[in-house]
Amino acid sequence: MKVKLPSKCPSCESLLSVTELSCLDCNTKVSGTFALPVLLQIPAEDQQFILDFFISSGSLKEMATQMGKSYPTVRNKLDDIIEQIKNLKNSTSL
Amino acid sequence: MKKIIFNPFEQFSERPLILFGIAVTIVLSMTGAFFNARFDGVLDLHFSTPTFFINTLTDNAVNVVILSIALFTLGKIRNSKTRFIDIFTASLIARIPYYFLSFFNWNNVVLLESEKLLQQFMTAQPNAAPQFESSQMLILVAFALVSMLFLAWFIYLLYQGYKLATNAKGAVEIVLFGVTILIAEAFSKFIFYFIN
Repeated sequence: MKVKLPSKCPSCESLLSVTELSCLDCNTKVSGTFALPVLLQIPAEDQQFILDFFISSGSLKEMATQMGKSYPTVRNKLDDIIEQIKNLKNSTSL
Repeated sequence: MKKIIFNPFEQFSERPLILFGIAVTIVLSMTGAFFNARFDGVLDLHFSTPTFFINTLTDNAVNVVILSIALFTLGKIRNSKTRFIDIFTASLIARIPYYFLSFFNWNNVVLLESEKLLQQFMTAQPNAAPQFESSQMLILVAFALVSMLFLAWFIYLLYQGYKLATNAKGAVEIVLFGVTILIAEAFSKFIFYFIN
């Protein structure tokens, strides 16, 4: 089963932070409060889209062919993700 | 199937849609001429004789170009990334359902019944209601209802294409789209006045 990294608190919907990192080899644990990177705050589907976009050298036409969608559909999806990231960046910088 | 009928723009790229749209527009302009249909306005359909293939083809070409220019102007204002090709594809494909309305004038039935209705109004005695045959009313009311359905399908398809081309969201965009269609309709009437 693929485990999904939660970005929002299931109880109060606030943004979650990383408070512990562990080394799986020697069991060393690092504690602190680390903010989640903006890219990890967006849904997994959108993260995959960004990864595919990067792998296809930023070609929306190639992405459209791979996804079996039209060019404007893929471009709109990218624009929506950009808008989402801008909003997240603005809200975290406030 | 539902996607193909109501929103083909999401799945198919512009090239196959344009080729399909042009081919279907030419074929349905031929059948339109056979059924004496004139598309003399972006939202208009009238039946008149004689109608030739060149008339219906010119009507449809002018309507597609006017719709494309009007919606592209709005789209470019609302979203600078709007491409003309996407708006043109939407205008070309969205009008296809409307062309099928000409088939309902089989044997000139709609033309003859509407002319008869006009005649009845013109020859009726003052203060007397003209007498209608029930079959005549049935034909005209059925055609009016079918026309509204096909017009709704046309507008829905056009909005889906416009929405995708401009990434439009919300009620304001719907209102602006509606206003632009009405402006395009008025402008097309003006153009057809000079052409015909």
